[in-house]
Amino acid sequence: MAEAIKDLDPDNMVRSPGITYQELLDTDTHQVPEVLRLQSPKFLGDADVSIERYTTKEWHDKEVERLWKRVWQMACREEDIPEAGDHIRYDIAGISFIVLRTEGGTIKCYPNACLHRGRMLKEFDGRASELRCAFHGFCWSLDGDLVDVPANWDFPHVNASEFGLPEIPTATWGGFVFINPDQNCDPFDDFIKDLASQFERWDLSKMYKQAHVAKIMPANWKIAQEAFCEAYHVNATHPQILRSLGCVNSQVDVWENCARVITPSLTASPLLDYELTEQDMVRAMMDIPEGAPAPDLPEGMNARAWMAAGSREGNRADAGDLVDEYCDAEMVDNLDYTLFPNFHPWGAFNKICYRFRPNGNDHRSAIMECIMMAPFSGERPPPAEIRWLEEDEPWSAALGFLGRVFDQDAFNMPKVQQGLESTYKPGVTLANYQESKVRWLHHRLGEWVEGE
Amino acid sequence: MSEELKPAIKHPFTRALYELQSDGTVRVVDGDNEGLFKRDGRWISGELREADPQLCVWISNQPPPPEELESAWALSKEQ
Ligand code: FES
Ligand SMILES: [Fe+2]
Repeated sequence: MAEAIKDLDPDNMVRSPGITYQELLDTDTHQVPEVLRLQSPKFLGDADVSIERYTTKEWHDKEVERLWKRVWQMACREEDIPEAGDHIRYDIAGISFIVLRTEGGTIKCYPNACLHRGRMLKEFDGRASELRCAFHGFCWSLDGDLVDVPANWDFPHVNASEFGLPEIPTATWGGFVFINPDQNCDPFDDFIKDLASQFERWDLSKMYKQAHVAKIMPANWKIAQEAFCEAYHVNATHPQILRSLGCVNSQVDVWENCARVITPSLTASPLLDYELTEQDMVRAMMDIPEGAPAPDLPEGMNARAWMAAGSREGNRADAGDLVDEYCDAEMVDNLDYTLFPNFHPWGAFNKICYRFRPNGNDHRSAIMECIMMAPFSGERPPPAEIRWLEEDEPWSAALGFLGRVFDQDAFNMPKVQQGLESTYKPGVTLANYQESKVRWLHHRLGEWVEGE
Repeated sequence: MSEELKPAIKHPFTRALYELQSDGTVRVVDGDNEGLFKRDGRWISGELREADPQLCVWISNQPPPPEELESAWALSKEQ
């Protein structure tokens, strides 16, 4: 895995037949922002990725020690803890943290453990005036100072000034709160700078959390995550949208600590060997059943421009005239970003933001979450509470049409895990370009976990 | 969407018709052949023995109407 990363020349590289994403942008009815004009294709080597990364407890344990205990990770939204004492419990691979708002309005994070005999301090999200342990009653202020030890005559050896809750580094970006379990970690600014520069135009701090849905998925967290890191799978996993998605024409860009896959909507997949009308694409995009009429497009308007115009009007009430500054691509395409290792905000008006992580220390199951970020006008609406789906509940029960698409991805996940447990092949073989975001994730993982 | 129309879609590669039945099974018509499949693509009956499992998953997964979805996202309807 340790092959050096090579820059590719976007104008002279092996790629899918059909229109490129940049050529498609040339047809936009609005001015295309610089950020969509960036291209950063990379060759990350063509080596297989070892399946032990998905199937062994040893690899999971190394991930916990070398990655999860050391890396910046998204814990919650700032809006989840607006008032003093508001806190959430954030767990990663069996380790629990409290993220809370102090009286002074700052955000702090503590290991979720009493300093007496170690009981977890907070089992649930909520609002607290103090952090009092439910075992023997040791108590800390929201700022982490020890304020009460019942029968303190018996603890002459406990000095309050040395018995504050340890502080865990926190940072915020785009309205998200990040923590780093490593008190000697690298600065957050270095970690976020690639992604932050991409999102200058799409300020996620101005959005609110409209929905938050979570589910335990029966597969390693990377299997779950990688199901959403390329558009190559669309032809087999989501055949119904092939008529409205330029799946293999996606543009994939890799930077140091973030990567993106941009998949154009309303352009025919090069994998289809027949012509599609603009109306065929609209039918597929809107999921209009066979036999039902599809809307007529205005004279001289193609499907992209028409759907983009509709999306502008649909968003105008909440986003205001900002919609007029956004180009068609920003209104209809899929701008899927990934910040290493597990945070996936989408750009522009697409509301999706995913997070994937191990489910405790079970390396064969994962927590998958989808947060929907929406613009609003006027007062900030309260953030949605998390909704946990039961094992047999489909994503469509909470997220409708979008959830139906996730259910197809979810249909694969346990079968990928099972297949990797059964295969005689030591590694998985990835596409060089279309799956280069998956390669990049493994390249970074190799650096963190294997020290490559 | 009219009431009588069953959810149905043509496969983008084979052009076979996938049509949801009222009992949740999926009828697939491929040329002169036809078969009935479970929602995960398992064959039930008919001379057509194979279907695309993902299109069976798709067509049989009809979400509740937006007003019954719990999340505000779904309620906003502009998905
Ligand atoms: S074709 Fe991708 S896992 Fe089989
Ligand atoms: Fe997918």
